[in-house]
Amino acid sequence: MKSIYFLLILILFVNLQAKSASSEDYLFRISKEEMDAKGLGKLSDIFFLVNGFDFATIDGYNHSIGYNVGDTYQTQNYSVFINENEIKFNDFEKININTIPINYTSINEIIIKNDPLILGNFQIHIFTKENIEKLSISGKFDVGNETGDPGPYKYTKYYSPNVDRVGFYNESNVALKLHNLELNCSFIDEEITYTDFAIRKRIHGMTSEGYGSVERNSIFASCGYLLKNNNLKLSFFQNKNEHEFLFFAPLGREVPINNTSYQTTFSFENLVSKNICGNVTYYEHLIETIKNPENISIDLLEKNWNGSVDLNNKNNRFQIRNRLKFEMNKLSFFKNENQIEENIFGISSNIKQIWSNCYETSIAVNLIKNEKEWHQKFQLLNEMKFKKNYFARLSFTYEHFDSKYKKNAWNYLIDDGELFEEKRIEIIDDTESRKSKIFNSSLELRKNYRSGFCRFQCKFSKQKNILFTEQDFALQKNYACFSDDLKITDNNEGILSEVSIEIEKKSFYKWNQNFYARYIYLIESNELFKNKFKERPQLTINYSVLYSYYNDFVIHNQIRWEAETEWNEYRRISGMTIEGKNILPVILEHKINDKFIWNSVITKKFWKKQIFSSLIIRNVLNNKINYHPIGASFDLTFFIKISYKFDIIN
Amino acid sequence: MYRKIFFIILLLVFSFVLYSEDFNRLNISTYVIKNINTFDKSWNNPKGICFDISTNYRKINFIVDLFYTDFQKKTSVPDFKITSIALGIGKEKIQIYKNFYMKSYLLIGNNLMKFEKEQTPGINYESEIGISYKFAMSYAISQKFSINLNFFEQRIFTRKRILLKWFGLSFSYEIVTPEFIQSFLR
Repeated sequence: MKSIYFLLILILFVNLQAKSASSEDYLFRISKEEMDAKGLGKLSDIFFLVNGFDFATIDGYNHSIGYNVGDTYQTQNYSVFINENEIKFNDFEKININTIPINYTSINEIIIKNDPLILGNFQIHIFTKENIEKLSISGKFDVGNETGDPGPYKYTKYYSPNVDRVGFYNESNVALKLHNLELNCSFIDEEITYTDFAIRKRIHGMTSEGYGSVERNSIFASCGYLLKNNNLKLSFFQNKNEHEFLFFAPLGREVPINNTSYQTTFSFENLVSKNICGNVTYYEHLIETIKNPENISIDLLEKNWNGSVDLNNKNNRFQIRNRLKFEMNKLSFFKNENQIEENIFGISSNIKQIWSNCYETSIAVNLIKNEKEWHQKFQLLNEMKFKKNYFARLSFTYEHFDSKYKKNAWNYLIDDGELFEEKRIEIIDDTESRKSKIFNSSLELRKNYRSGFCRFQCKFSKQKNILFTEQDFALQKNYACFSDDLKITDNNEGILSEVSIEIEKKSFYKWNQNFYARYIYLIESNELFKNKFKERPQLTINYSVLYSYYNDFVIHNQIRWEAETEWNEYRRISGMTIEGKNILPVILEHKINDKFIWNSVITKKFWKKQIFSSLIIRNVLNNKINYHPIGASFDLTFFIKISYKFDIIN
Repeated sequence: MYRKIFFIILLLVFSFVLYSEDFNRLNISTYVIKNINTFDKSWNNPKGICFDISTNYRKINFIVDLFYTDFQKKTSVPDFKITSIALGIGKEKIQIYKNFYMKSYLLIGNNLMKFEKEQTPGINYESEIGISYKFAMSYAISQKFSINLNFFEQRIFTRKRILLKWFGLSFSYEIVTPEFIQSFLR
């Protein structure tokens, strides 16, 4: 404890010695132009477009992702920000990035960062356009179609049911600037359909409203005011999903819910001094289960107050960022009328020393305290430039925390089995409050060319006392999944390494090629860690080529290959067939074959680039693509997108 | 139904979007085509009509294609009609000998299949993606007018694929893209 106080005093001392703001580092950046050219259909498409992401999805709407070497699909330890405001939206600690209320036409860039001031593996930052001159109006319409309907064969011996449908997506945005006042308002209206055979069979009978589709409405509104040098901003985010079938892992099946989240954030910059900025946020999340024959209820109300204050300083030799944060969390489960409350306090600091033009060192400390104890994250980062075009980065991160330190909905569920009062599953908790220890290191070597770059990365991760839940899924008579027990263990450990190479080459100004290959190797682990690791592809190869004709006509092709994955929790359902009236038999497998995917996007801008149109073809070869053993199969799909943007300047 | 119409309108809008920059020539063609393969014994081999507009864009051509055909039943299945709209890309026409040219396009589009209503209660239409390949041998009668022999292969991505092969004759007329269209689309 003394060491922590000493560290705080040291941070304060170094702060007093320095002045001004901080620098930004990011792992990946994708600009608006790239997103347009590569066909960002929904936000989750960035998992396809950004090299290094793996993902699993059951319905194409919710995604579990892996980015760092030690990530598994169970530990979803990342956060999403819009204009530096953290969006707290989540369902049982799992973020559905497609519910983030951001209007695609107003996105300016997306950055993937690993900010040492934030606990978690990485952050996805979405920045909207700034510098609106006077008035900007934009709108977007998407429609799509998926292959697999019977056509005229419906009336022959080759009968198959009419199943595939892709929902619509509409959005509109108005931004206005009046002197020091900036107003922005976005609306999204979307339909997400459940047409896959396996999902239809599982959700059939869970609601009287048929197979259903999610009706999604989102709002993002912000009001910014520049008072002298103080930038004050009030933002409101809302997402409402009606008739959503949320895959609820402990039960192993979809539950029909109405899911509403909203958040209000007040942020300020340069309020007291030039170096101070911060925010206060109120977040509320309500899950209402739709009445169902199984009498399953996961009703939940979550209220959260959180805020932070940043002190940023800089001089020629130091760049310093400090953050004080608090969080008050209140959770209510309607089913058992239980309530839990928790307060969390945190302090973090990042000091970067610039030794010379060629060498920088950064040290970060991140401390979080709940009612019981401290949880720590330390990072050391070295950046070196050799000559003009060579660059090296070496980093070490150490985290020491209790997986259950935060009393969130998921941890509450596994702590308190009352939610499963009908003993659908039995919770076996083998945990002994052991503290998780994660050590990560990475080495990046990069050479920049005039027409591109070559990057080599080597990562190493050693993890100890990691908490995993383990289930043994089987199929019920009605084809819904179930699990006899849910076993929780926190003594899992593993040592992993990852090697990746990325080469980008721009030929003339028209061609842009990118090659990426990544291999993850498990050096040592216990059995459960190994099983979780096998859910991610060991080897991924991605090649994309972009052909740009005068910037307003672009063709992009992406070819991606992923090695096979194995989902041990689903081994009991392997070989079983889902069949029934109006569906084609689906054979389930706990091993997912390797995937070869070819995506193609053609975009064209016209009318002085105010109208943007694109044709997106996913899975051109129409291979059977699955991302989860009981998930949907994604066929050849194509989308037409048209967006319109109208700006009044001065 | 409205969504299907909306979708087709969007495809049309998209196709005209391509007609920008220095798209200074429009080539308009009308086809009469005959189905030369049998995709299923339950229907006849119909005739079809086709209309397309292509335009030059540097060394490539863009094409938007409208197609209609009517399949008549031979057994107890319903009649059905296919109306499709497709967008394509191809190489500029290649001269083979004097006034003889060769053209080819690869197209992707949406096929709206409408079934005879009496035999299909409820929904009697369906929409599906198709990819087609068009090949034409062209004889230029004058600078603007040409006559073409066409071979047209179409794959519709229903669960069991529909493969249709067509052979036909078409007439093409080339015009200068009206200035107001060019300036509007740029």
